[in-house]
Amino acid sequence: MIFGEFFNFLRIRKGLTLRKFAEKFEEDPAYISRLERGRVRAPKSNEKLEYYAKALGLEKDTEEFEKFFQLAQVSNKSYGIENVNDEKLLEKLPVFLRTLDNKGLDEEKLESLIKSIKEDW
Amino acid sequence: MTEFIPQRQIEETAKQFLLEHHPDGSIPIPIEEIVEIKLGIKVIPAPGLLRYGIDAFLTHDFKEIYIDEMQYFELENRARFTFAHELGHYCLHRKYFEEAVFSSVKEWAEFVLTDIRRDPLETQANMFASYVLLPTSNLGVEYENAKAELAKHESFSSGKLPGDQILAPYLAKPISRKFKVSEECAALRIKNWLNSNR
Repeated sequence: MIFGEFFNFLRIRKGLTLRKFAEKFEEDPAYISRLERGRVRAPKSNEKLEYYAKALGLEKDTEEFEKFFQLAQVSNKSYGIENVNDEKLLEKLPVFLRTLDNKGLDEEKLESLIKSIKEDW
Repeated sequence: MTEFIPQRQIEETAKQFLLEHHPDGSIPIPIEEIVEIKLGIKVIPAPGLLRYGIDAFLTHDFKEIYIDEMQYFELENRARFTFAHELGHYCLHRKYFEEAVFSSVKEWAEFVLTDIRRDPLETQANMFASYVLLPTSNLGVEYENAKAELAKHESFSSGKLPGDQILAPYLAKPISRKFKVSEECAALRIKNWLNSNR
């Protein structure tokens, strides 16, 4: 399990949606989403990690608290944007692409969309 | 070929969905809780998704919903409808997802650029979203409540309110607030509900 997955597991266990977590703890939901998917490093500062641990309902001197910090350290050592292969990418692509103007996308826009899914978001 | 799903069947699917995932029936329907907590679907606020003319999409593996970040932040009621719409695909169009198997990104792109069966399915997902966010039983109660509030207004001191077809547009606003949807969405749903055999 990576740090982000554990973070997501704890947030969901606490019954907090991304929006509610972000509102309650004054965080950017896009950042939390990226953190949970391993798209950004875990925070290095112990103070920030402790803040998150508390927000996620972890108590000091428990196994889960320790695991949270260990996973954060591992995450920072092995950090790197995952190389998304085609098989994995195909799982993440939409089947329904409803454009608001109902005009659909052209090839150029589709390529740009794929790039954003792979690299930006 | 696109499968036709009668409106009543979509309503029934929405009703069963709520019974399973939101049994207490309170409003507004906690759609993001259902998405993330009950179904375990991740929400991904995607900056600039709207530049493609797309406000959201459900991934092929049903594990994530990408939603335009601006809509997610700034237009919460609209985002609620968007989530309910994607859940419409999740509940109604599983077969379509399962049939859409691609061996390469190129094959996927060809499908997306050329498949024309999707438009009716988008309409079905919109219907599902309306039934989920404004369930018929709650709508009936809130409609009567809104009417009773309106009747207190001095313009109706005679105690006689105009007919429902005339009143409906005026009730859309208070009802939209109760259900946390846009006024336009509430107005359409009320119109549809009044036209059906309620």
